[in-house]
Amino acid sequence: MSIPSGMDDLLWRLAESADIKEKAEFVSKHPEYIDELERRSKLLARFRESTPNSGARRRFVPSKEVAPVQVMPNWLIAGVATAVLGSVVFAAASFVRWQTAQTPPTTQLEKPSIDLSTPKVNSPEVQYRADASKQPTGPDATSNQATIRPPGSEPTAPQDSIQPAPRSRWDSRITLQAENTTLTNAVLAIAAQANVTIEIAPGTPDPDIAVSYSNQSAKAVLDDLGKALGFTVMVQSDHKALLIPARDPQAETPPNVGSESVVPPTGRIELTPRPGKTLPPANPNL
Amino acid sequence: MSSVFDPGKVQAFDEDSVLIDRVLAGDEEAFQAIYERYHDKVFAIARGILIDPEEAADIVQEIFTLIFRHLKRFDRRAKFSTWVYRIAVNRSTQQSRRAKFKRLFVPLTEANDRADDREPPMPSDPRIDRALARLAVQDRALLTLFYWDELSLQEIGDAIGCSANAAKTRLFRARERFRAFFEEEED
Repeated sequence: MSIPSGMDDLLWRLAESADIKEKAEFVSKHPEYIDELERRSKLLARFRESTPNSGARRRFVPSKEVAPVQVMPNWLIAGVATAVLGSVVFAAASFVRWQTAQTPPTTQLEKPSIDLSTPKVNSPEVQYRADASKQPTGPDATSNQATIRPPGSEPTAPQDSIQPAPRSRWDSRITLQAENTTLTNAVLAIAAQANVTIEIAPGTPDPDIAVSYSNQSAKAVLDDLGKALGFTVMVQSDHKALLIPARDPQAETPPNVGSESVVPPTGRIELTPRPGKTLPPANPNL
Repeated sequence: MSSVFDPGKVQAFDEDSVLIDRVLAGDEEAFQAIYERYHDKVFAIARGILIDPEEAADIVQEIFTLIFRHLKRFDRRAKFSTWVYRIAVNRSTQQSRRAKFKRLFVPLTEANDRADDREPPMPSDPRIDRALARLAVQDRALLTLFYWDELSLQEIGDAIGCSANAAKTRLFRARERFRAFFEEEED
């Protein structure tokens, strides 16, 4: 017999109730539920009668420590096993990774591409910037600058320079000793040793010089040359710099992108006058 | 039901506070009074959830030990009785679940000690016990709190951590399930 929800609630409430009069009224109205009410009343009465009597001791005796769990549930065992296994795998992977990191990487020197930008008269490879007075401001700025590729100058790094890579190419130690050379050639030698590209902007002086630097950083040597010869080294990246004429006497050090530390050089530089040699002005028509 | 003013409960509440203050002041006899006041209700909860009277008697001791040790934590915002019932339900439920996985190694001497100082429990109704044993632990706790300890729906809700309405709904379902199991069992 299906009992409506409302009637079901009422039957339980009456079965729990001790009010005989209320039960009698309900039975008179709903005689079809007499048996159901009787069953529920007996069930609840029997349940209540089974209320336990502990027969317990009447003194409180604090319990000893709860006995430890002797057997873990299976899910906990599985969880612990998974965690242990995962830890072992992780540790092994970490060890392998650490060992791989310890192996020194193979040093591979890329062939230096030397772009020396300097205006050279009668050189077929010379290209002049349209407006030499403008300073390079964007990534394309260098494309308009004068570029010279000295013929047959495929620079190679000296064998003794194969060392662990320094923090920056501008920190590369170079040795430069030459008598009766030009600034361009000196810069060319620096670029070859440091494996960098150096562009020389139009208007940069190109005097004959004698230089002597031993085991100095490339940046320091360039800065020293710049101080002596009147140009500024604009480091544009780890492997590229631009030499621009003139030097701001107020500026301590030009913007330094690639090199973090410049050791003051202890080398020697001398100007060796060569009468009659001057740099031509930039030609805006080219 | 729970909103009706009950002078007896208010009095019990005040007496509980006095007893708690005395216990916290170091009067261990006051805790004996608390133990005697709540022992039967706590035992009914443990017995209804664990079914086994011996195990229930042991858990009752643990429950009162917990109450004794943590009495300082009782913040008095709720009724002390509610706090006691909640501990009883939680500890008994925990024990019921742990019993499936746990093997208790009880030294023989200790087992004998336990048997000596306790009156034998009143014989239980086997049919009721069998039907109860087939219920979920939460259902057993609800029926026990309502029919054996005669708590209000609000008190039950406080003890098991739900509202009075939720307690009423759960109680209704638990009662239906109990009835189904009971009618399947034979005397």
